[in-house]
Amino acid sequence: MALQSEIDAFIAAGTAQGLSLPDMMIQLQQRFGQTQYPDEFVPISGSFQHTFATGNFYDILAFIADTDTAMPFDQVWGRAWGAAMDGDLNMLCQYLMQMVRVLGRDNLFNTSFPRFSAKSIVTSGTAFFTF
Amino acid sequence: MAATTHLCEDNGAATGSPAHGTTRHGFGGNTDYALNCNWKTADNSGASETAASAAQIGKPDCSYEKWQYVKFTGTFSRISNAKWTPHHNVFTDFCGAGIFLMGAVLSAYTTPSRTANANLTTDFTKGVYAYQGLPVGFSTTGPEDASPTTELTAAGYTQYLVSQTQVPTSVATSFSGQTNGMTWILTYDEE
Repeated sequence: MALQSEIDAFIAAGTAQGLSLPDMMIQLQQRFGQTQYPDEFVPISGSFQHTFATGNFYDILAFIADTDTAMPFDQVWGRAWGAAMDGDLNMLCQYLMQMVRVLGRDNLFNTSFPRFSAKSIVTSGTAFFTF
Repeated sequence: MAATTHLCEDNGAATGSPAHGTTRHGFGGNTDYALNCNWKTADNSGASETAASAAQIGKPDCSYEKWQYVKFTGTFSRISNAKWTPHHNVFTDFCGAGIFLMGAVLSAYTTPSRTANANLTTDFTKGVYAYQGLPVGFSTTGPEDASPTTELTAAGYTQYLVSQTQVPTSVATSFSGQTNGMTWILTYDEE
């Protein structure tokens, strides 16, 4: 199956279960070792061997940031979430495709959604200051 | 079969027993839901809320607390394992050195004010992953229920998810502008 078709199938499967795009992002997070999240992200600066050993979702995104866009991690992650929240399938698919290239398609798409659906409700927050 | 969620918010003076806000956006049959979690110097929400840019925070100063909660309706067997953070996935400071974003999950509503709420004991100034967020309880009667449960098996609400920005006198620098965009998130399991 073509990569784009697999991504489409991934999103369609999530949609069929009532998952929003942010919900699917959480599903992806949980596939890559929820217990392995660092307490605080530390950029890996081009040395990414351990990324594949641990399968850490955040390190994978950091790898993408390091090698593909040279953007700071928080911007990459923020943009991925922004795409999901905005329903921007094109941008979200770009992130998924990069993840497939890093991980291999079997690791990303070979499991079905669990019966327990980790879902979310999200909104934005901001504040203005003058002092 | 899926639950439907809406973001709700109470505003105004505490009323009733147990106490809740006088104005209840999204509670019961009300559909004027909260649209964001913008911290500001106006205690309102819903479609006609004051823009955050028109209610800016000074120094020393605080925003009014945001007394928000989530309403679950629709068809589901069980909602559980809820975690909340008002500042997810942004690993920079909230705005700048010395400005705080504080939060707590509470059941006891108090009238929102622009003084620092000492009950908001968790510092969200730096981003917190959703899985590290605060645990959240539920009730079929309202966010003010003093005995929340760990799961929901019928339509109901979360506890209050309370947050406030606080600018103490100790902030040394001047600042004029807007925070970076942030993601408020409640995660949960649904069966």
